[in-house]
Amino acid sequence: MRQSQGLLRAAALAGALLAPALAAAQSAPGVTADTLRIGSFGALTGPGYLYGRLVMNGVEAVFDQVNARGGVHGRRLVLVREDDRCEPGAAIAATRKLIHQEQVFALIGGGCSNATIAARAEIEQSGIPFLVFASVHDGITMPRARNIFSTALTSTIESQAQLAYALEQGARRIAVVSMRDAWGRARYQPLMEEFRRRGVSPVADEEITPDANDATPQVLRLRQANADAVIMLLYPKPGAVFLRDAARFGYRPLAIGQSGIADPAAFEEQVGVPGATARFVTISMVRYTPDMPEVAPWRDAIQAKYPGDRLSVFNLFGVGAAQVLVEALRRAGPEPTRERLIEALNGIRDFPTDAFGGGITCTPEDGRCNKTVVWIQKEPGGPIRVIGTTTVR
Amino acid sequence: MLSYLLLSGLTTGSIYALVALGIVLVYKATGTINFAHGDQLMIAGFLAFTLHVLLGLPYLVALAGAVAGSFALGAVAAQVGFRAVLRTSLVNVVLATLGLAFVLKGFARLTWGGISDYLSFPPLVRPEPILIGDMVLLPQQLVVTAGALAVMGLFALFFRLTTIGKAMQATADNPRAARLVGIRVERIHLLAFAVGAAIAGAGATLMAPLTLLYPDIGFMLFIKGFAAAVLGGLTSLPGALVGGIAIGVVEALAAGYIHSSFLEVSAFVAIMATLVLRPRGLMGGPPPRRA
Amino acid sequence: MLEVEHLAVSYGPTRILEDVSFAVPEGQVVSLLGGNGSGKTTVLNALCGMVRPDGGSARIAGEDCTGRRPDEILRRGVAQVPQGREVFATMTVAENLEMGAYARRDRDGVRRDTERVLALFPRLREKARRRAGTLSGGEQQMLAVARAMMSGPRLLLMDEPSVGLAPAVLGDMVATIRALRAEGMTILLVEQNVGVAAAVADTAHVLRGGRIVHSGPAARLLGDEEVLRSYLG
Repeated sequence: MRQSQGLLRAAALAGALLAPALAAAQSAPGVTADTLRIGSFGALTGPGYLYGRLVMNGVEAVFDQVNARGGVHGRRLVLVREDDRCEPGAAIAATRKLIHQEQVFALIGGGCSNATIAARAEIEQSGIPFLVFASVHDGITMPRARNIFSTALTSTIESQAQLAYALEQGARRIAVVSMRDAWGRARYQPLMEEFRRRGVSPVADEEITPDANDATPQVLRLRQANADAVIMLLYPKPGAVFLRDAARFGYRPLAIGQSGIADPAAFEEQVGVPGATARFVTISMVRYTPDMPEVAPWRDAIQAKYPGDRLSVFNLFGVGAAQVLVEALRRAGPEPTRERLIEALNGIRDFPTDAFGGGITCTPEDGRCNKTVVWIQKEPGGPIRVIGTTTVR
Repeated sequence: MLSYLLLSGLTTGSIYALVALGIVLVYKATGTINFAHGDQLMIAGFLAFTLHVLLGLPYLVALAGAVAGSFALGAVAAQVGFRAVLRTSLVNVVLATLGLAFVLKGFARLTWGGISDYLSFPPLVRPEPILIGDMVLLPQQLVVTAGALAVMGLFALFFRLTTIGKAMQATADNPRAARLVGIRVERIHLLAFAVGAAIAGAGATLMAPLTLLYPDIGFMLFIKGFAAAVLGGLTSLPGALVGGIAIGVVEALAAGYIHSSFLEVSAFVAIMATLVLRPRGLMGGPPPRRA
Repeated sequence: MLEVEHLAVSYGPTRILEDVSFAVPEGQVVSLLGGNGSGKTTVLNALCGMVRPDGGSARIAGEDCTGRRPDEILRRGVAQVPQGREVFATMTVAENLEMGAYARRDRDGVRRDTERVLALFPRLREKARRRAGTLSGGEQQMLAVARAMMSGPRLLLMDEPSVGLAPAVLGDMVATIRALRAEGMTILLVEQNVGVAAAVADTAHVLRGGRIVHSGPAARLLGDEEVLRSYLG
C-alpha cells in the first residue's frame, strides 16, 4: 500500500514535470506550422457594425500586410470573425464558439460595450489573450483580468481628459450635460470624481434623455448659470438636439464631446443649424482623419480589399490594435503559447502605431494600454482637423 | 423664460401629437392599441430618407412615397398579421402589433443600420429662421405643428364628408350595427390600420429633420404619442393634439423650472393626475365597442 | 319570400337551434314568439349572416343564402332592425340614415327612400341634425326601423321592437308595423310581447328549446290558452 502510494506520487511528479514540455511540443490552440488563427467578435450587422465590422476590416488590413511580408515567424495570420449583433447573449455565444469550436489562439475584438462586458467572464476564465479594439467601458478592463488588454480609450480616461481640456482652455465656469442611462453613468461618475479631485465643481449639471427632441430647458438653465464650457456626456442625437437648441439662443459655449460622437462631419449635419458646431470639439481614439496623407497606405489597402468602403476612423482602431497584437506575437517567439503572448503584451512600452494619439503601454497592473486622447474639430464647412492630444495619468 | 418654454413645449408637443393622431385613429376604429405605430413611423421615415436623400427625389415626392408605402405596409401587416386575431381577444391583437414592432425594427436595422448611427434628414424649408425675443424658431418646427393641425383637419373632414369616413366612424361607434347595415367591418379595420400607417408616413417625413432617424426611434415616439393619446382621451383627434401639446409643455416647464431630471417623469405624473381626475382623458368619449 | 328549412345553429358546443323550419310569404307579417333563451334572436342572426348555421338552409326569394355575409344578404333585400335599437349614437340622425343606405349605389333611389322614411317618421325629420344618442328610446327605435328601411329591403327582420318601450310608445310601434305592411313590406317579427304580435301578425310560430312547437294563424294561436301557457312556461 505504502509502496504503491509512493509510485503514484512519483508518476504524478513526473507528469507534472513533463507537462509543460509536452504542451510546448504539441503547440498551442490555433497554432499550426504555418498559420496562426486569431478570433474576433463584434457587430457585423446592424448599426453597431461601425464598432465591429469596420474595425475588423482594419485588423484584416494589418494581417494582410504582415502576411505579405512572410507572416509572424513564418506563420500566416488568419482572422476568424463572429457576429455579436451588439447583444450580450450573442457576444457570449460568439466568444464560446471562437474559443472552443474554432480553437483560436487569441482574441482581438469587442465593439459594443455591453456585449463585451457580458463576454468578459467567459474570456477571463478561459485565459485566452484578448485585446479589446473598440469597447470603451471600464468594466471590461477593470478590475484587471490578467489576460485582457485594451487599445480602446475607456470612458474614465475620456471623462478625465474632457475636464482636463476644459481647464487647459481656460474655462472658468464648466457645466455638465449628460445622459443618465448605463452608458452615461459610466462616464458621469468618473467625471464627478475628477471634478472633486481637481477641486472644481460644475456650475450646472443637467440631464438629457437619449431620445430627446428638445433641449430648450437645459439650454436656458446653462445660459442662466453662465457656463463657458459644457462637457457633453451625450450620444450624437441628444448632443445634436442640445447644440441645435443652444444655437437657437445664440448661446455658444465651448462644447466638449467624447468618442460617442465620433464623426464631427456627420454630427454637423445632425445638428443641422449652420455654425452651431463651431466651438465643438470631440475625442478621437486615433490621431489621423481618414483623408490625411499619413494614412494613405491604409486607405489604399482597405479600399482595395473592401470595394465601396471608404477609410473610416473605425478602420484605424483596428489598424492600431492589430499592430500592437502583431508586435506582441513577434515578441512571443517562434513557439508561441498564450502565456508567452500575455507576457509579451505586458512588456509593450510606449509602442508607436499608425493610429493612436500616443505610444501604447501595457503593464501587468493596468490593461488599459491607450491613455492618449486626440482632440478633433470640424470648422463649419471645413475639414476635420486634429487640434491636440491629452494624456491622462 | 416662460414664453420660450411654452413655445418649445408646443413644438415638441406637436411631434407627440402627430404620433398620437395615428394611434387614436386605429383605436377609434378597431378598439385596439397599435403598439407597432412607433415602428411604422420609423420605417416610413427611412422610406422617405431612401427616396429623398439616397435617390434624390423631391421632398414632396418622398412625402407622398412615404405615405403610400406606409399605407401599403400597414394594409399588408393588418391583413397578414392582425386579421386572424382581430376576431379573438384584445390581448392577441396587442401581441400581434408588438410582434410587428419587433419585425419592423429588425428589418430597419438590417436595411438601413449600415449607413450611420443617426441619419440626418434635410428640412422641408430653409427660409430665414424666425426670431422671437432672443430665441430662433426653426421653420421645420412650425412645419411639424402645421402638419399636425393639417392631419387633424383632414381627418375631421374625412369623417364628416366621405362615406368611407362615416363608415369608419359607424364601425367605431357600433360594430354590430355597422355589420347589419352592410359595412364589412373587417375591411374597415384593415383600412384603419392602413390609414393609421399612412398618418405615420406623413408624420415621419415631417418630423425626421428634427428627430433624426435611427432604428430605435420608434419606441420613444410610441410611448410619447400613446401618452398624448391617453391624455387626450384615446378617441378624440382634437384630444390627441391637445394631449400632445400638453405633454410637451409640462415637460418643458418641469425641466426649465425644477430640473431637467424631472422632464421624463413629469409627463407621466401629469397623465396619472389627469386620469384620476378625469378617467376619460381631456376630451375622450366612451371607449369603442368591439365587434 | 323567405323559406327556412331545418335550420340548426350552435355557439361553440352549445346547440341553440335544433331544427327550425318556417316560411314568410310575401306581403305578410309573420311572428316568431318565444321566451328568453328559446333561440329566436339566433334565428334572425343566422338569417342576416351574423352567425353561420351548422345545418339547414334559408332561401330568400328562392335563392339559397345560407351562410352568406351580412352585406350580401342585405343586397338581396333583407334588413334587420336589431334588438336594443343599436343606433350609431355618436352620429347624427341623418348620418344614421345615410349609413342605412351604405350598401346601395342608386343615389336617386336613396333620395326617394329618405323622403319616404321621413314621411313615415316625421319626428326624425325634425331631429335630423341631432346625435342619435340624444334621442328618446322610442325615437331611437324609430330610427332603427328607418335605418333598416333605407337599404330598400323586401323583407324586414325585426328583433323585439317592443322591448324597453313605454306603453304609450308601444302603440306607435304597432301603428308603424301596420303602416309598413300596408306599403306591402314583408316582415318577420320576433317578439316576446304577445299583445304586439297578436295585433300585427298574420301567422305566428312559437319557438321553444330551439324548435318550433306551435304554428298557426296569429289570431287563433295567440288566443289559445294552452299555447300561451306552454309558451310562458
